[in-house]
Amino acid sequence: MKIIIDGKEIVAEVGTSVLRAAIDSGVFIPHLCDHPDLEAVGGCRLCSVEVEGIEEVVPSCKTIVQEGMVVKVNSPKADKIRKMAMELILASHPAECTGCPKYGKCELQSMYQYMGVGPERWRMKSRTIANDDSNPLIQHLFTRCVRCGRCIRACRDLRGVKVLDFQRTKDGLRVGTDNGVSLKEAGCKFCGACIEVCPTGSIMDAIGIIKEDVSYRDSVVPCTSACPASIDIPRYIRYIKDGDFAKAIAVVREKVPFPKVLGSVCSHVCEDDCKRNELGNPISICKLKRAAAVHDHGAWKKNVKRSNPTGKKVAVIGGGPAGLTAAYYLVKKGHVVTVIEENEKVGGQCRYGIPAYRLPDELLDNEIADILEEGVQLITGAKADTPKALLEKGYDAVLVSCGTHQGTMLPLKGNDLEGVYVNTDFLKNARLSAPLAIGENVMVLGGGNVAYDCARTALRLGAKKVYIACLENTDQMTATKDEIEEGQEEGVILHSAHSFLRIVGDTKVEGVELQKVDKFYFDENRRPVIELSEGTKEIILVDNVIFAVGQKPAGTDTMGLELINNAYVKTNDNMETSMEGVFAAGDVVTGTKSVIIAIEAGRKSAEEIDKYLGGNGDISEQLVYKESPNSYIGPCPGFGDLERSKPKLLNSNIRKSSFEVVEKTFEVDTAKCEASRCLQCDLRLNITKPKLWNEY
Amino acid sequence: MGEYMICNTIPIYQEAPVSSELFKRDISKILKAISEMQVDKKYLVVNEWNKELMELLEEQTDACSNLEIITVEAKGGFVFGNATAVSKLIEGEKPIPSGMNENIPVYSVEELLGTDEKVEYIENCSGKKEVHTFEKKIKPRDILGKCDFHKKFKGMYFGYPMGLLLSSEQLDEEVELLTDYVIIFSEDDCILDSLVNITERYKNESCGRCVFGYEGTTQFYMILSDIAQKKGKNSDVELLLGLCNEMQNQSLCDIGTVAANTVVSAIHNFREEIEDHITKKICKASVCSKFTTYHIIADKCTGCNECEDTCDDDAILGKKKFIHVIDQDECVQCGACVNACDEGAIVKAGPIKPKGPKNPIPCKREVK
Repeated sequence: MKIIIDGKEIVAEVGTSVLRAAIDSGVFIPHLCDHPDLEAVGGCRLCSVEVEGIEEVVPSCKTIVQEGMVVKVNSPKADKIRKMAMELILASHPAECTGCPKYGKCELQSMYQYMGVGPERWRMKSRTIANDDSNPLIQHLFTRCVRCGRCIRACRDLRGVKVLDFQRTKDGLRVGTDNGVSLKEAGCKFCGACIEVCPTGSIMDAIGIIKEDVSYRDSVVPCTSACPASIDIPRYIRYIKDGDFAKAIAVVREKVPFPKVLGSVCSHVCEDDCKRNELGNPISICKLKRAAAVHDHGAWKKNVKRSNPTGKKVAVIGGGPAGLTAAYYLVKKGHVVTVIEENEKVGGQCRYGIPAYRLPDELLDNEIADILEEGVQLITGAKADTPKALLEKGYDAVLVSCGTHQGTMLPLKGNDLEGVYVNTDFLKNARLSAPLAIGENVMVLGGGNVAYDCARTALRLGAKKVYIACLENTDQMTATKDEIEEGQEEGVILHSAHSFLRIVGDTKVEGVELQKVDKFYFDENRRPVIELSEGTKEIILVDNVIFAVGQKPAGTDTMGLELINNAYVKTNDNMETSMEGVFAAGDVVTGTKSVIIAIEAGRKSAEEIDKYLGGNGDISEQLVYKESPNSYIGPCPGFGDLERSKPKLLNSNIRKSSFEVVEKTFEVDTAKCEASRCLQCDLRLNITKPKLWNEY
Repeated sequence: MGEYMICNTIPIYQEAPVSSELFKRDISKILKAISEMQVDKKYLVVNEWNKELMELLEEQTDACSNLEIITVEAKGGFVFGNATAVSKLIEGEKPIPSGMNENIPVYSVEELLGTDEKVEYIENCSGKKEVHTFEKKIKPRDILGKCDFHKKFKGMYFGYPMGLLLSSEQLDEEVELLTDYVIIFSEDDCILDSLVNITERYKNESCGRCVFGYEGTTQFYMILSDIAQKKGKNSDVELLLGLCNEMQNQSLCDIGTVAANTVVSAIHNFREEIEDHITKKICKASVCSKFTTYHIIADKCTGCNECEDTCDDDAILGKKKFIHVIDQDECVQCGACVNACDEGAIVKAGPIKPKGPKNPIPCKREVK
């Protein structure tokens, strides 16, 4: 239908308000309490207009369009009311704008600047209310509140949480919880809708949540932002909450081809940034991914994007997570991809570095099968030619992703004795069921997760006493808390904050001399400084020593590529090496990192190689229809205190005697329950952002 | 058959509990009227603290069988006079108005009783309260006639939802009684001072949801208080009238409209008295403390020093056996000295001030 606003004919949908119709067609009418996603109230009267045939001025937000309606915005009568309304609002609002963090983004500020009015002819007195930053994630600065009620409508009508309401106090009316309890006690779900719709600086994200140097979306949804592969975490957690595991896993697979592997061994930096940390413990994102992945029946496969053959050939040196990921996406872009793997099987560190009790072969094989199904060709058990030779053989591009498979040893006296091993050899041989011989007592040197992998593997191979010694104290250790705890349960004896002086023995390891560390830190030149405690030397008798102090690439020195530190392949931002057509990705470039970082490097290199081969470099996929999520999340008393679910662990005695997987997958109900703890931070991004007048 | 009906027993004025008292008195009649209504759902809104009422309801379980009882914490409030607000209660929400009373089936106790009479709580400014029953349409003079009021009449305030402050000139103009609460003012009362109190009530009762209702009543209160505090501006009365004019049409619910009506009628009927506070700096009734002064009558002062000891602001000059004098620059008009003086020598004065020495001089009177 058509209506006329200030002489201009505009088309409006039946049932919309005059205000919406005007705004949607680019005609600006001031407004404040109205929000496109909320029911109109008609409280602020800034949107007052004159309508032909109606004597009194009406609020345009509450006036529904009628065919042929003639509306005047610029009428003296309407103008007078609009201005008086704005003056009255400003009369009780703090006069100084410049100190307000919402300065420049404030709808009230924008609106009064547009209208050019001030409160001077009225009695001016702001209603002072103490700022409240006692709540997690959300701060209340209600002195700035203009009682538009948008936050209340968002909380009650849009979200159904019903925590915020108008509260009558002796000093007047304000927004708050019933009986003035904390947001957590009131059952707030911390969805942030109130923050999103507040036109002033009255309800804001707690200090530090919105970061200056990242996008608004990244600040609001920190888990996805923290994930190296930018998996849409809230979206798949929501599907898990609803029990729709197939869709959940499709969302994960839009970014990574290894959901089960990641669900087992991911470093889950996403959980560190999870906003629920502010309320207690983060969502168990990693373990939820695994819970969903075990129910993956491949429904996502029908939506996989495949390009026509390009006739180009790519060789990938090394079939670890980076190489396989790159190969997977390059094949789908129509290239012929051959992965050349030195070992008997592909999988890289996932197969030869991570012990089977954390990541069993079947699970890895299962996901690799999906990759091979796309047509990736494999050459295993063969040493690859140099990149140059491969190019000469007719490959159009080469990706070097051979990882860091050579364990390092410290220059310690006795490191050449019989019975001294390095992590990589020890773990790989264990995985190959041809373990290196160990005695009853074993000491692992190092304080990271790999040290625990070695120690716990040694226990499973029959060692009676297994020690870990490291320079760092328990808090400084890089091993995760879970790993330290589980190791302790299995009987690993930890000597943290100890320096290793020498390995004792004639021809064979007999023991390790340790000394207590007083202080261990890095000086201004980032060189380690170790202060030892006198008179604390002791020799612990062991039959074997395993170095778990780092690992580096093997065989890169003969590749004819420019290296860093004689081992790591040097690349530019586009992952190109010093040789044209040769790219590198993964640990071989970055040093030993995590599986998720390697996968992301694989994706990035696939994009770059595709572009190099003449493609568009677009490997993005939508494996499941992007539904708009249910924004009516409803009430949940005690939501803020819901406890993080913990997976069940195999009994530590059984654990020690086998390589059976230690950690059980969440049951379906546990997973749904854990997923329901998610704050769904992304929901607020779906709230329409009102335009300021200068944006018209 | 209609969808639902709500019977509200929460009074608009807690101090004038017409609805709850009538409900108690005629409970079976009212429950019968409710039971005869042909609607699917019936609700009864009662105060949760009213034990007596609750017990009565329990006795009448038969009549209440298909009646849902909604208990509220509030003992009274203007919002209970607004149907949009009361109807929110059945959704479990707070009674906050979203508009005017339009076709919402909310019934007051009196409506259900269907009488032509109106029960009124009447107060005069000395605090005396009376309860009378009147014809619904009545001349204010007849109300005055029934009341125990013997001072010189100045004005009559009809509370929410009438919002009328009339003067002696309108005593014979018939009004329709809609409010539960009336105040009668005498020549001893200052209309401005009373209006400050009345608008403060509207400010506190306003739900806060709309700008004209909430900010409007806030401005009423602030401007009128300023005038009463000797801080009035010449433009204030016109400013108030301009605000009233918009509030009458632009408030979301009738609370704002009625507040504006009250101020308009007060200015219309008592403009001179209000403006005198601004232009002549006087309070005719000697009520507004900023316009009154305290004086010591020289003939009565015995120089006992009691007043000087009482004054917290050291505004009284004098010593034993000297006539004391109040320093008007220091005096804050607290009135404490009046009570301290056994001789009745200290008086409050409005525009006309008693004469006396400027500085303490020896007493003529002997101390008894």
